[in-house]
Amino acid sequence: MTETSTERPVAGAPPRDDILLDVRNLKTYFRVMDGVVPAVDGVNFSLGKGHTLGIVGESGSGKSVTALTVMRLLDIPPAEIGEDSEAWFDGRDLLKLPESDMRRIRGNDIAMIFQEPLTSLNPVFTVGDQIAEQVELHMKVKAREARDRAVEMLRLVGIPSPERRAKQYPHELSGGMRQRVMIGMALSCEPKLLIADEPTTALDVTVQAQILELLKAIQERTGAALILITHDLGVVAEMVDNVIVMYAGQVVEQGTVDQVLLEPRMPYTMGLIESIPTVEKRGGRLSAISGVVPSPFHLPPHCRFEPRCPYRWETCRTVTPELYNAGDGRVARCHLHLVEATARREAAIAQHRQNMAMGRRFTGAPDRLGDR
Amino acid sequence: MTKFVIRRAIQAIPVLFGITIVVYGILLAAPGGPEAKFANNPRMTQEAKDKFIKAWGLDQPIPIQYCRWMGLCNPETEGTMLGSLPTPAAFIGPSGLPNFLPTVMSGATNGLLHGDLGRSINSGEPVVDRIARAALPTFILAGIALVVWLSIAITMGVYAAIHRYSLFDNAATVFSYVGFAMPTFWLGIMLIFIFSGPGLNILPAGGMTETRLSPPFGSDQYWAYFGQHPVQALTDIGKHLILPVITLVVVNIAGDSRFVRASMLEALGQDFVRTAKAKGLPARVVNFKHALRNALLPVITNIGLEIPFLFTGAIVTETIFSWPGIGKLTIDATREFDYPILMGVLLVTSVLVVFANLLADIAYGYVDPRIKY
Amino acid sequence: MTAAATPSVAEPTVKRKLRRRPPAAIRNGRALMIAIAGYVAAGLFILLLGLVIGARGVSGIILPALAVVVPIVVLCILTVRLTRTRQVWALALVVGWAAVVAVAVGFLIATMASRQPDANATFFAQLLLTPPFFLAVASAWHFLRGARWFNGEWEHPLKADESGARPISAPLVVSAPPAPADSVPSAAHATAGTAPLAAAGAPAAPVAPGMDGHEPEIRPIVAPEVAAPASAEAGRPLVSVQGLKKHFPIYGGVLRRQIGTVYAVDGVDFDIMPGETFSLVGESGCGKTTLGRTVIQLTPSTDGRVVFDGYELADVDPEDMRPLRRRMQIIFQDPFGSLNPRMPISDIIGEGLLAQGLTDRQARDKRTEDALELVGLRREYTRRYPHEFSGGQRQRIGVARALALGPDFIVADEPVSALDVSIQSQVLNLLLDLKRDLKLTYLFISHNLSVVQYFSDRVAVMYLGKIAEIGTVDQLYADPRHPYTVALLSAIPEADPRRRRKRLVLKGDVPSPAAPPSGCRFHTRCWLRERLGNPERCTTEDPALRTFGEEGHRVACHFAEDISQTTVEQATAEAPAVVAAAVEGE
Repeated sequence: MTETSTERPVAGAPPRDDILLDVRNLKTYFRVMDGVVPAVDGVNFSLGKGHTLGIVGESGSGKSVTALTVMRLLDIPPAEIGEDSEAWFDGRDLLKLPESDMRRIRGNDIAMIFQEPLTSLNPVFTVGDQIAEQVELHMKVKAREARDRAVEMLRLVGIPSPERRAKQYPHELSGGMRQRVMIGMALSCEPKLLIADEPTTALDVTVQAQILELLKAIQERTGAALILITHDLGVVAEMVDNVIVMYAGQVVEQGTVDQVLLEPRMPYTMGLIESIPTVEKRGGRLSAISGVVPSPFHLPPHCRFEPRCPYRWETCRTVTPELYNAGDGRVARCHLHLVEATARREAAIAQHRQNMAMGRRFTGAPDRLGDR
Repeated sequence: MTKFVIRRAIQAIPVLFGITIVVYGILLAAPGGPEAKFANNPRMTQEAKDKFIKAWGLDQPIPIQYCRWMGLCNPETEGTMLGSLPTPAAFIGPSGLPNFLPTVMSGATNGLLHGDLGRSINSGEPVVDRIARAALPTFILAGIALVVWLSIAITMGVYAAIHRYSLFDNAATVFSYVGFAMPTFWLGIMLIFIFSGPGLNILPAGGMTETRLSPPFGSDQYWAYFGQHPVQALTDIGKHLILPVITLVVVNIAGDSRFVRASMLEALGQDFVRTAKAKGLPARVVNFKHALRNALLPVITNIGLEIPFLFTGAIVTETIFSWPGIGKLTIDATREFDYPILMGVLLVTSVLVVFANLLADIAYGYVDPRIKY
Repeated sequence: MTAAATPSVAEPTVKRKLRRRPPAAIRNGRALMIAIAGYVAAGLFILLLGLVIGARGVSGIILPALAVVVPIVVLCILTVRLTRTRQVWALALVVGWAAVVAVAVGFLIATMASRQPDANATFFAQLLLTPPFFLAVASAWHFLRGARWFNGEWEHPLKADESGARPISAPLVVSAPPAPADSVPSAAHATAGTAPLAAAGAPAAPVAPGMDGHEPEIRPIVAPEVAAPASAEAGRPLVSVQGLKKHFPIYGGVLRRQIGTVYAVDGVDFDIMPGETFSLVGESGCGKTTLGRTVIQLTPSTDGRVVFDGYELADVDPEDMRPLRRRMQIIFQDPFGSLNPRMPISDIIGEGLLAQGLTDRQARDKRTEDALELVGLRREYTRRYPHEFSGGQRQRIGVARALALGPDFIVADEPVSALDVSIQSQVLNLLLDLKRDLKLTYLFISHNLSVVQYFSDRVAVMYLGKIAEIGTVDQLYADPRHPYTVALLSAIPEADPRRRRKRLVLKGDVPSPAAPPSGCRFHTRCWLRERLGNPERCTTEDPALRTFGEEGHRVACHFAEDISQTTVEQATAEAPAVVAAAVEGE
């Protein structure tokens, strides 16, 4: 289960046993020439064993950096991780582990699948070698067994004639095949947690369907927990139990998939969902969130979504919002959930329902002028 | 792959043919001509000059000269056609078959096609022999320098890329720029001044062998001496090698180490390096197996292009250190208007460049599975 | 079969024949001209060489060389400019070439005769004369071969006003006095037929907010001449595509001969009516992008017809194509790669105007700023460079670039695929607004079926270079009749957890378009064929597009009748077994 911020255990102490990954106050900054970019700015979430979590956001929202920070795959410097950030996995804080211990976890306990399967595979080694290399390292087996295991993994992910395919180079495989290889590689050491970063974005619709079905089947079978990072709400709706919505480095809404997608409580999530073109909206204009994602160097000082928000009022410009309880265990980073804003909240929710039903436009600045 | 090699070899034929024309044209365009060496010689009479011109066939029209040099024409046949062209009879060799055919068939021995690049105007020695004699010293010097500077440059570049912006990286950058900026002749002279000057005087200032100890390098006497005292001879050459090798290494390391560093940095930034890290591989394997193999792909092309250097050597360095190699030969031939030797050196260099390119392409196709010819 | 394939495609009226692109013989003749230019350069080099060797007495070649080089340059220019139009000119040129050679040879002989013959001077002169002699012979051969192509088909070049293109020098938007944001009236496009400039002076009356359900917004007022409808006749297709093919050769082997063909687009028929949004959907490699580019002849077609508003486009002379290019524009997918990073926005947008003959810098800048305003960007942005903009803004710049030329027909090639969800809807709305305000017709290319369903009127589903199914959005989405369409629709992930369902998952990947499967191209992945017990017909006979059910709904499947709710459900229930089986196989 995804925990809300109110039930968190004390800092520095491991979480309950049924929690596989517990990320607390995760902060990642990039120190670059022009200043400091807060790519991830205080993210909290936890993931139960065998559960699925979706992290949704647009490019630059920090969803990939969150995963890379937990995996400790970022170069330090330029990246910097907050002092009090914690990422508890299996009773250990990943962010405090020595590099050698972390290496034993990577690929073994936590495996990752990346977006672009062509560039993510080394072009000069055969796919079989690339899987076997990992098996040999983590499972401490002979080269021969590792190769057999690689072929077996290729068969598991539904690649026809795996013996032949294992001897091929990545460029000789199609996009869908390569992603299957990536999945096979990730699963080869039976990880407890699988992190998939936009696993289907580079693929065609029918291949995407294949890969999603494969991920589902494999998760069902191995019982691994899954973190699915994507910008596609459709993929999230198909795949996960709980969802985190990120915007400009922060979690802005968190809840079950039904809660977040059907009854969003944060104007940004509402806008995202309303802007999906559907058959009901034909003939009318799409609702669109006006404006653009703020530059990481010039983030709005309080609510980061405020300049684009159609429901904003004075408080939004003067008070920094926190993750407020938005009922039924969900949280949302929006002042609409303050007690004194009840009327506004009701109005916003009503507006959202109306927009969803009618395909009406968002009541923000007109989007033809959105970029001015 | 075989098809590719065949295709490239076929493509090389017109290129090589073009090279001969260009080499010929360039020397034709050079002012003077072989007879220019007499320009400042007051004792030279017009008759002697004419005799010289006639003897070397310089009175013939350019196409005939070229065809004779190439070995297309029989040099014994006189006469022109259409004002400037060789007569059909000139293309017939001594045996009655076309002159360009191999010696066993045509009986002809002249010209490039029969392995004859003419004779040196000054010494009368065949150009091929003269070049072959100078090639060994150059090969020794350039080969050792190339191996040393490539190994240092690759190590330096890779290390600097892995530890980007570290003290070492910055120091390597400074060293590279100093090397870039340093003129060869200045560095060479400074080295001679320091190590062979009156102060230290621990290394020889020039030449390849100690003339007081051994006969001149390359002569038959030398090889006899080499057979008797191999250790002494090798130490002697080794001592003479140190300064020119240092000069070449310092000057050439800069570009290559920068190139390797950039290439390695690019490889380290690739997605598959991130994948390798995510697999839990130790940094050593990530850097030296996954990144390095990819980073070296463009370096191979670069190395391929440096192979002709083994032959051409370094003109300035060889001249400063009086190294009896191709570089020095070129300078001497230029000074003495020895056109056949210059043409020979230019030609062999160009041909080597063509083949080095071919080699680099083949090597690239061999190490990069994505390249299919 | 072709007749059966095109029952509902009306024979388009052809307005006027355009001059055809010269055939390969003449085009190669132009390559020959380039070779001549190269020769001239080489000649000058030899001249220089001659000057250097002048000390040895070669100066005599300069005059004969000039006598050759100058006429060649003149003839090069004349050949390129004139051979396209009149046969008589081509013949005259052949005569001209012969004359040049004769004169030059005569001059040379005369010069040589008057001087002491120097073997090397003669050689250089010969060097200079030989190539033009061969070139003259070769070009004579080319012209005589190409002469068949003229056949008295000469027409005057197509003029811009005749082509039905909108004027490019006129303003795009009516400049309204600067006013506070909320008081500027909403979109009011002048109705068709209004006197062009009369309306331009007086801004249209404000339209009441809330009209057609929208909030009031600042929208630039489109100039009436621009808002006038396209010149296409009503009821006639604006674009008619018949049997269109685009094949790309694959070269290989020792001699680089053609060893194969990529059948990117392989016989496609459809009509696009004026004011319609016609969409092409399909997976990568299905040929939709190539088709889009071939329709507007950005890449010349291999075979088939494209009739645009009565003009047959295939093989048209570039000069005649230019005014038509104004009417057909394209928006590219990648907003980062498609804008030259070293050009300011004014040049990116203005370049097309310049190519269309708008040489007045001020008029061009005005038009550029108008186009920016039309897509919702500030007029001042013209001085900036692409890297200063976000992805969404860049895509707007791409749209402005297309709009600056006043097109009727826009090919939008995946215009929103590279954008974030929230930006995607902004750009889609923009395209819809522009379509309404400027009476545009879209060919919308996308792989996103949800976007297509929302955005378009009619849809064609492509698979491996052919249309699998075509119909209105309602026909296609409600009653898909091609097994591939069914699978595509089933694969759409929907953002509604309540609609979570089992998918009909296709096996394998799209085969290579260089070796398309025999018969029906989809048979290798077809679930329906499997259910029907693999009938042989699918592998032997290429199914024609046939009308199914309602008018306009056509499908290329032998067994379209066998698709029903039950078959789809059964197939869906079985399909995941493919993956499961693989898992069990561990």
